[in-house]
Amino acid sequence: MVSPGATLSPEDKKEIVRRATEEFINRADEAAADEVFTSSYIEHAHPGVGNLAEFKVYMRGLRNSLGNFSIEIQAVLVDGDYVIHRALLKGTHQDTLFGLPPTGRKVAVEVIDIFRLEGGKIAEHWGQADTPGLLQQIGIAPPPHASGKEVMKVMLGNFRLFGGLPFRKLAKKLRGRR
Amino acid sequence: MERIARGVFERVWNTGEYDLIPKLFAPHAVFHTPADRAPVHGPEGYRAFVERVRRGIPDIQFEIQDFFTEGKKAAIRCTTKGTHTGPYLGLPPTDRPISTTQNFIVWVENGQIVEAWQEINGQLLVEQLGVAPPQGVGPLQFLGWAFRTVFRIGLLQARYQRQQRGRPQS
Repeated sequence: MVSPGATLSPEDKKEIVRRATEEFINRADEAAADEVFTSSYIEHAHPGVGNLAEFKVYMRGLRNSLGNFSIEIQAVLVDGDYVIHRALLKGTHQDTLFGLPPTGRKVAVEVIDIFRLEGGKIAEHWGQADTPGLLQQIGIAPPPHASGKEVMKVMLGNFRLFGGLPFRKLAKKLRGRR
Repeated sequence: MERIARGVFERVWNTGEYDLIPKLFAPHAVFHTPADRAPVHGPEGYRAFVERVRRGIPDIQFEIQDFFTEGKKAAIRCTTKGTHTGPYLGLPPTDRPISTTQNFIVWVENGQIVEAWQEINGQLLVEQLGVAPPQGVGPLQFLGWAFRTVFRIGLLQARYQRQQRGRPQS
């Protein structure tokens, strides 16, 4: 644990981000989040998410949608108060994600995160994930520069994925009534 | 380091100075982008990549918001603006304005980029182009959206092909 106000080495700064990633992001330890994020933390990566409380709720939902959720740090650089890393986001699509019903597919996409530190804690975060890649791995979006045939294949897959749902829901309702 | 980043974004991307690419990128450079299926290789591969994106978004403008560096590694946070007036990512021109954010990580050796990674706020981009699935709707509404979108893109594609045919052969 780094005491606030102390002069932090680049290694100390990497350690703060590593701890936030492993304890809070990966292991859902929300008490640890209070120790590694400032109380005035600003989240820029997700629409509708601005502060730490909202970020915790967002992460609960994401961990629920993507089972065995994890962020594996691949490479880190430190410049002043900023820590930047490239990482792999992994999970299994086991619950509704972006309004999409679970497909059971495993996803692994790259992310680039930028963190600003203040007094030994994370004060601000800008992140970008390969969301198009994630949608491709789930099977809902065609790859870049897809041919007409590939687009049709994905659209037919969407039809199978979404088309059966109203019937399944209806069947469930009917079973529940009996 | 910063000179290299400014060269890539402000000169190659914003003004189309393609002759700079072989100076900025090492012959064996690898560029990882979500906008292509496989990594882009070498200055020639990168030039083809830039030309393809600029054909789709000819007025594309990058603005560097933050620049970070440690030794041979650099990171850039930037914004991208432009208008989708040409074919891009398999989509016919939609004439819509786009505005998105991006993060880059770049590794430099001997004054040249050897490897780089790009992540785009692609969700924002597809929403602006009108091809993102609406969130939180039921399956039937989703299907309705999918058919409407395929129809709309089909119409735009037909219009684009008609325009291309109407153009005198150069």
